[in-house]
Amino acid sequence: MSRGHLSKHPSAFDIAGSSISISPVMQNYSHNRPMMAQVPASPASLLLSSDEEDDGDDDDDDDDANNQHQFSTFGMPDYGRTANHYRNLNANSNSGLNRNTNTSTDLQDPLSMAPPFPTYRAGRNSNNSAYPQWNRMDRTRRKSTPSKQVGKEAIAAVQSPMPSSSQQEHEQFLEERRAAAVVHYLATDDKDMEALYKRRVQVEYAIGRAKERVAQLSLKSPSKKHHKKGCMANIMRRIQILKDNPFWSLWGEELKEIEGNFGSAVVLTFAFLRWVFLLNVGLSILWISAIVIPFFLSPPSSFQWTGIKQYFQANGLEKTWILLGGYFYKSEQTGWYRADYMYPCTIAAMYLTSLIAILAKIAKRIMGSGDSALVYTPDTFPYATVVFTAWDFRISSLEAATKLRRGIRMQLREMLADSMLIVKTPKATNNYEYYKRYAVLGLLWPMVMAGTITGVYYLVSKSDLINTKLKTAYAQPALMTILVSIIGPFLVRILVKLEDWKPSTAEKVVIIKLFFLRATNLTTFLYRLYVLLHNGYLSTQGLLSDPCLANSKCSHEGFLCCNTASDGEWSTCLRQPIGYCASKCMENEVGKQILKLIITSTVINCILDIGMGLIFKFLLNEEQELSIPDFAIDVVYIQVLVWTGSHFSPLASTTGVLCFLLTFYSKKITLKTCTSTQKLYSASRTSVMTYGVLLVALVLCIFPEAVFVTSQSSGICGPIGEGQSMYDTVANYIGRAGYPLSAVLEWLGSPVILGAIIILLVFGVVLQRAKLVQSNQVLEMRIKEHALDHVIVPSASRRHPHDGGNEAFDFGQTGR
Amino acid sequence: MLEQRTSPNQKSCASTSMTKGRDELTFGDIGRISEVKANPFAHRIFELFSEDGSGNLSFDKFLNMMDAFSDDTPSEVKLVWAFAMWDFDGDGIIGSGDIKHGVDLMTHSGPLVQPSIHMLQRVPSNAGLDAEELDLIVKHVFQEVDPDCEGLSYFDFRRILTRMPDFLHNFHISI
Repeated sequence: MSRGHLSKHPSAFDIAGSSISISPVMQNYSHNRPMMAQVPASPASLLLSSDEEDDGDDDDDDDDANNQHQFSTFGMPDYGRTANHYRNLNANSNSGLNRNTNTSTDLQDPLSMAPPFPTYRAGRNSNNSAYPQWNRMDRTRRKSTPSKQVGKEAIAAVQSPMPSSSQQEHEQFLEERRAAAVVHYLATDDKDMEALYKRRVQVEYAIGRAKERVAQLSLKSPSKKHHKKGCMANIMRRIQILKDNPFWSLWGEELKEIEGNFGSAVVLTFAFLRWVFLLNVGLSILWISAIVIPFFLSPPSSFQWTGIKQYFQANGLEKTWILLGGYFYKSEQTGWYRADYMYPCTIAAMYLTSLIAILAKIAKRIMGSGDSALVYTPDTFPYATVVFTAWDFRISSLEAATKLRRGIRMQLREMLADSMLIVKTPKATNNYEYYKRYAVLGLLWPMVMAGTITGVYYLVSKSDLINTKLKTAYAQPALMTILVSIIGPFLVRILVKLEDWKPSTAEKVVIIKLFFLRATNLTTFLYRLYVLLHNGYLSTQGLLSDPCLANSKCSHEGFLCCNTASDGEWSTCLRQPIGYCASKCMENEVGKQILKLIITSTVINCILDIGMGLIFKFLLNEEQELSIPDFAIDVVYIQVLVWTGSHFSPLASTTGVLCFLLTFYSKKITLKTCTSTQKLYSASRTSVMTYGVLLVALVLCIFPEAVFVTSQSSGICGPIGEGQSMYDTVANYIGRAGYPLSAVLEWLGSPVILGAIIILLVFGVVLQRAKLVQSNQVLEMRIKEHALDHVIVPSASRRHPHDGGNEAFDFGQTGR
Repeated sequence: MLEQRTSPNQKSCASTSMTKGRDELTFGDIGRISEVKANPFAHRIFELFSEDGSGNLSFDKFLNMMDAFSDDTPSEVKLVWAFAMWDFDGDGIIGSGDIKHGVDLMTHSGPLVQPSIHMLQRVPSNAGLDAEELDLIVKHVFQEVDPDCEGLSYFDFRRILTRMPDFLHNFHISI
């Protein structure tokens, strides 16, 4: 390639920008689509309508002179008549291309009016390296006959339509050129060459216009890469360098591999998992630094450490730093750090941080990659959406590509069938299905919900019983996991099949039902835990003490029978008379249940995933598909447990970190036995399903958390005194603080919720701004286009004087 | 870069064209890489960025191509190139023929898209969509986005695609 001026490595902008020196070219507008591109396509017909004449070799100079002159002036000759002339020429031609001819004078995209390859005009002379193959052909032609070089000039001349002299001369000139080109190209007997040439012209046309548009864009928005000065810019640059650190793109290689093999939806879910993992890392740093480290610096007198083995039996951890109960400071703390107000403050900080992180991530997705499913509904043009956006360019494996093609095919066929169904099917045959569907919805679904709710209820109420019966402390959470995470979704899928929806609606129904099922199960679980907590408080008030015999179990969950005054880990039996039931440390009980549930749930899910994958691959020899809604809902479920569990154990988020790590690797291993999905999962729908559901879950999580924070503590264990709630403690401290501090804290304190509202409002503003910026861009571009057309084509305004002034604003005329 | 990820066999193929002194990647070489084979629009993309329609890319043009598809590129630039990509017959509008060909490329069931100089020709496949189905699909698309049936100009295309949230996310190729 003789292209010397591209010795640097330019970006797309620069390449197009190098043609800016010929910018007057862009003013070459005409009202109609250029007919030039049709010229080479129909040589036969043109031959009919024009004479042949061989022009000499001075054409080069002529053209140059014409071009120079034309470039130096801004005034444009009247295109209308010439355009009409061309239109007539081509009305006779049979275009081999499928195209709708446009004979209206609508204002179209200005660059579609431009003649092809204007950017190459400056280098149009024979050494123009833009057309190497043409140069080669050109050189051979020059050796043979001087008149043959007319071929290249003809094509080139076709690109520069408007001379400064009269119209007639110019038209004749062009016709002659065209005829000569026609002769030359008909002379070559090679059909393939002709087709190739036709093809090349089409491609170059498209390229040329794309480059002009890109150039126009770069004119509009100056390069973003110029280095700003100032210390703010320095700080931003340092943050950017930090962000480019490979730590934040953890698992980048793995994600890329997954993306290539499975497409964007799956990789987005994995990226969501990675994001939640990093969020939990941040939260656990917060908890460890705020709560756990001060504990180690000055442990309370009740601190007992019985060794590592106790971790797994979940006993003997009562008085350690792992559970809330261990932070039993009473009045030992001196100095400004008190566990009893730091703990609720850390809880509040955790929720606030999570909220800000989620909102920031969603905002970035909306403003960045245009992931605006939260803003625009994708159902406005279903067919166009499938046609233009269904292909996922990120796929790089042949198998995934084949699957995707099949998926698109099936989706399109389904859409066609639906649209025909609406027309054809009579209503009568649908009645039976409607009844069946509503019967299932109305009867079976509530039954399933009620069943799972009852199951969870009893599992929480009788957890001690179950654990002793099955002889392991993890029996109850295991059963709960099996019920909630395995049986529940299975039943949901069966029900949805029975309900017999259309395939596309069926998926949405499955997702909604899974979410509801999980939400109700969690609500029941948390409600039972709250009842436990409350029972603990009531027991210290002297209620709920039933008499019990020496080795019998108490009827209330979490109570133990006091035989001696020093029974139990804490001082519960000091207050109760002997022979009655008293509660254990309820905060610890609840904390233990939640932690065990998190761990068991993760482990069972991982084992099940890998197991199913192996079964499918080796026994059944099929491949399963990864179910994205299940994956997303599982991650959100664990995260909700981490959030609520943090109230009772500062290490809940650390547990979350370990569990998400395990989940990531086990899912990755499972993927080896999966194939890419055939359903078309849109990227934006996936991100709504992941981040959107997480946001909703966080907001819903605040309610049980508020209840926990305002419930009164038993005072047996934990940092909060008897009869007080966390909220009361904090309020006391604020009340006792000095005047300015208390006023400020009260002003700040009560609207922690107000702060969240403010953040949501800011988020809404960001969304609006994104919409506004987009519509602004469109408006700008249109006004610019209209203004230029208005300047260039005086004939139009002469014809319609009253319209001329309004042209820039009359969008209705363009039919948009 | 791409060369490093290909197998040694493919690497030698790519290097042979380079050692022929032209310092270009031809589509014949690069079309053997599975990542390129997986993309039905690959040939069209190579055609576009090769600036003369031959599908041969020098390093600069290759960079241009990667730049247009990268994540940092503004969405406007991507829309420009997407329009150029869909405008198979180069007439400045996306007409029914263009859409038909594009859908055909995306839904054919054959093994591999052979580049053809006779563009707008049906891709050979066993179980791809019929001609009538293609016609119906094109008709629906035009009903939705272009009721006057004039073909989509760049502005129409841009206006529609900015409302489709997935387009920018999917229109991305990386090494």
